[in-house]
Amino acid sequence: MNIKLMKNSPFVFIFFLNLEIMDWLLHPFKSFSLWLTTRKFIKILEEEELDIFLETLLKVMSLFLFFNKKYRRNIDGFNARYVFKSKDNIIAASADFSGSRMKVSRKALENAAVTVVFKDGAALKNFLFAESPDIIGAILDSEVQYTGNLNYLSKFAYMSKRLKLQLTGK
Amino acid sequence: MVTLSDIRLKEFQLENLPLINKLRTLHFKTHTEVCIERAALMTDFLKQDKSLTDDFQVVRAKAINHYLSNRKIVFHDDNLLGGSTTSKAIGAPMYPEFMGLSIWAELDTISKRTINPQKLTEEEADKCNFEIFPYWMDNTVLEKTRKKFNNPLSLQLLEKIVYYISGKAGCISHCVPDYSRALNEGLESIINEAETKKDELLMGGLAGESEKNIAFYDAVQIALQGIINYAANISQTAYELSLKESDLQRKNNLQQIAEVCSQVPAKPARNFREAVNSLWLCQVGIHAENINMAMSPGRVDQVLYPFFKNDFSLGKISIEEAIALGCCLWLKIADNTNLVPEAAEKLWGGAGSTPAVTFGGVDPDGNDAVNDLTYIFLRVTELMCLRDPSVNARYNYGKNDKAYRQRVSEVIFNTKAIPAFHNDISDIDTLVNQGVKIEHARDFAIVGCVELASTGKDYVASGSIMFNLASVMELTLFDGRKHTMNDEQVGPQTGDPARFTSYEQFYDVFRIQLKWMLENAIDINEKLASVHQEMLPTPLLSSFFKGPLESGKDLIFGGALYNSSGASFLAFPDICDSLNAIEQAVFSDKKCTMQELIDAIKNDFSDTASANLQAYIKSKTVKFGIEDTVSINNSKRLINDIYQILQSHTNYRGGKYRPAFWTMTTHAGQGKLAGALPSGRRAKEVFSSGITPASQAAKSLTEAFNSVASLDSRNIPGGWALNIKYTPLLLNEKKEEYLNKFGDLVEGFFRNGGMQVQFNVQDYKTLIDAKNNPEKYPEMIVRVSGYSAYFKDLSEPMKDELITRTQYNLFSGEAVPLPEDFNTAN
Repeated sequence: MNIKLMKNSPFVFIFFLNLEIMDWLLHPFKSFSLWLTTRKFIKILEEEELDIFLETLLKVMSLFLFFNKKYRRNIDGFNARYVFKSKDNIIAASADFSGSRMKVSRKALENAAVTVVFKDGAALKNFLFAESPDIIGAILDSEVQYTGNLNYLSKFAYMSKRLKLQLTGK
Repeated sequence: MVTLSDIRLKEFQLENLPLINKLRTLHFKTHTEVCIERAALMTDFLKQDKSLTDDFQVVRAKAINHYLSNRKIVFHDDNLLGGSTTSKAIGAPMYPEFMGLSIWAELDTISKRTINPQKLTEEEADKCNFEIFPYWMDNTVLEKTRKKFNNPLSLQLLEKIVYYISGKAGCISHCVPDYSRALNEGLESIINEAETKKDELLMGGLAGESEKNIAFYDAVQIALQGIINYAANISQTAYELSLKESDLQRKNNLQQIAEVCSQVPAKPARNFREAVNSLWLCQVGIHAENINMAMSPGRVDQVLYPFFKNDFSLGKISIEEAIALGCCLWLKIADNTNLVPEAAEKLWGGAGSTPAVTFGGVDPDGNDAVNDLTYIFLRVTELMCLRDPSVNARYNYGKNDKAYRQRVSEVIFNTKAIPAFHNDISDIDTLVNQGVKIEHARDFAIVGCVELASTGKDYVASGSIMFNLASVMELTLFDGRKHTMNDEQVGPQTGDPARFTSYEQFYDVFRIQLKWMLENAIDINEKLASVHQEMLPTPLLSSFFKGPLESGKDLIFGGALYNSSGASFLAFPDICDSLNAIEQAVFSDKKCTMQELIDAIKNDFSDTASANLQAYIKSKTVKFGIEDTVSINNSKRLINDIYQILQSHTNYRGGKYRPAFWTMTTHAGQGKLAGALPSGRRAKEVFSSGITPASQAAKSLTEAFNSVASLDSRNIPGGWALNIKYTPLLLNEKKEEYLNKFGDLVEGFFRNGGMQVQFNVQDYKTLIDAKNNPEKYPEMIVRVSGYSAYFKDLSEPMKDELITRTQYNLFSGEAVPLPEDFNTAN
């Protein structure tokens, strides 16, 4: 936790102290959860089980951010909200980065820095992880569309690739 | 004036120029690296800058000064000149305020990608990810524009890529600064003038625009001092290295660099070597401020000639030494390339940074400008055969000697591609028609690919818009919808063409869609420009132009004497052929209905009926490049309409929009993204380049030349790129006759009004072999559409486009048929 954030407010201090205690208490559970989710994530990458791709990606990213200090540096001081939706609106999720933490939600939140609309899980996976991603093709074929700041999408794509590299070694 | 006894300078070969030979070999062995030095230093400065009360012009100048003053001084090889564009031997500099962040997702892979990798260390990638990019992610030109204008339609269209590309998201650059004052008087003289002007304003009291003008004069001084500091640091480092150097030749070279850089560019150049190095340091300097995209040194044979002439007449320099310095300048100019993300590399890869140099033509008084240095630089071009600089030869058939024309032809023959030929007479006339004074027009030089600019007087911004005419055709055919992108309604609903009763009605609708889309392209250019005006003044570049110092106004606010913006058009020949096909097949010959043609386009000419229609269109309707009334009328009309629409708009600096027809490599990339066209061109086939008739369309060289020359160059003030491919010299042919024919054809084309022509002296077989066996042709250089490129670096579509370009036998003038067994899937 960043002490500078505490400022002078006792309420803020207690709030962050509680968060620290909660993190400590949840550590074993989160550790096991990361192990499980990573297995699921690798399986999805290998086996084309794509209906839960987005959910798994966001979950494993959130857990990895919790455990890996260097990876967590990606969101130090980073405050932004991402919304991901499938074209048919069946899949929707949000990633909310704030206070060096990532919160995942199963609905589309308001005020997103960037909203990504993808045709299906395969399109999103290809967009983020293909060895030679056909970004222009994906945009032209409307497989992946975005509204908002493109740089935020680029940052998320980098974090996703880095995550994959860290967890799978490739 | 020409005094050389042998203008070919053939005694000077790479074999007897060992240093140059070594440097050139090293250049070709060096891999490109991403250079984050500028991005890191500028970002660090801006993060820490506390001078919040400074005018933004001054803040920008301070950031530039900080970067130039703190650059790492590097000597990667034994080049005779001090200074480098980046800290890498061949560097791709990063400009985070523009599109530098586009490689964010590729930070871990850019070094290893298969197409044109650009090396980046893990440490540098981390610096980008954690320190540089976060600062800029809300502050790039594109995102500032999106925010300021609430994501306007014109920006949304830009991001679809296939309608138009707006250069200002990535840069303005594209111009020809005038370095002659820096060479003759030194940068301190410009600084002194800025200080004097500021004092005059201060004496008049601060009112209205004065504060802004004073800030401009401050910014000029601060930014120019950055270049001077950089040169001083080079001098100091070279001196220190020379003390430790045991190799006598290297020691001597370092000592000379130390001496040269202690004099220039701060003070006047005293000799040719100092002048060349001064020019180079100014060129490096402006890249601290402006992206390395078509920042063109211009008429180097004119600017440097007085220094050469003086040294040579006094016996202070030999031809060999001048050639060596010229070669070193060429290698320095080639020390950088663009930072390109993988997706863009696939479509548009292989380009350098296209700094153009221009030779010959006439001087501002209209006299023959060809001199000894022109021939020395032609020899340099021939020996080096590099992608950059982009070399251009002006030829004035009324003033220049035929020997010059023949020598340029010979250099093209020997390099197989460079330089490009430009018609002095029509180009000057075209500029005068744009309101450029005759003496300024005569002093034009080429920007980047083919664009015309009066040296140091016209801030042409010639890469402002790259416009895809094929998309307009698609919107016309589908009632404003983009059928290849989910039938999305994009343009105005102009009706179902199946109900149109005449070709005129069709063309009128085409013009409506053209105007609507062009106005969107102009709209986003203006919006991006307004953000440039808020965050990216150009005090350094302004110092090398006529106008800003006199008026106290930066180039970005219209400080130059002339202030145009350029728009280049893609797929012009394909759209001419499509218009011809509609006029003839649907309305004149009634071979098919419009609905049948639309259906054929929708199914990409894939069923039997559509394929038959395609065969008919391809064989029976006239093409651009054929001397036929229908074809010539349609091409002239389209050129005229584009000109009228563009010229009716005034840009943010008070100048006009100038149409141009050069396409770099985008005609190949955009072709791969486009659907079928009425011309019979199938989906994903490459478009024709520049203003070049489609592959195999013109069966005769004469017809191809005549039909292009018939277009009024005054309606194309941005310039055009005509690509012609010649069969190389055959065993039974004589070189002298070949070259005479070569030169005669160029002159004939120019006398008929042709503006520009560039050549590839290659046959189909060799190019196909080069595609299949790139390792056999590591240095093969080709003309793309405007600039030169190494064939091996080009994308697959671009290689196919070069292969399929019509090859002409020079003597017979007939098109050589494309080998039947070649297809783009090879």
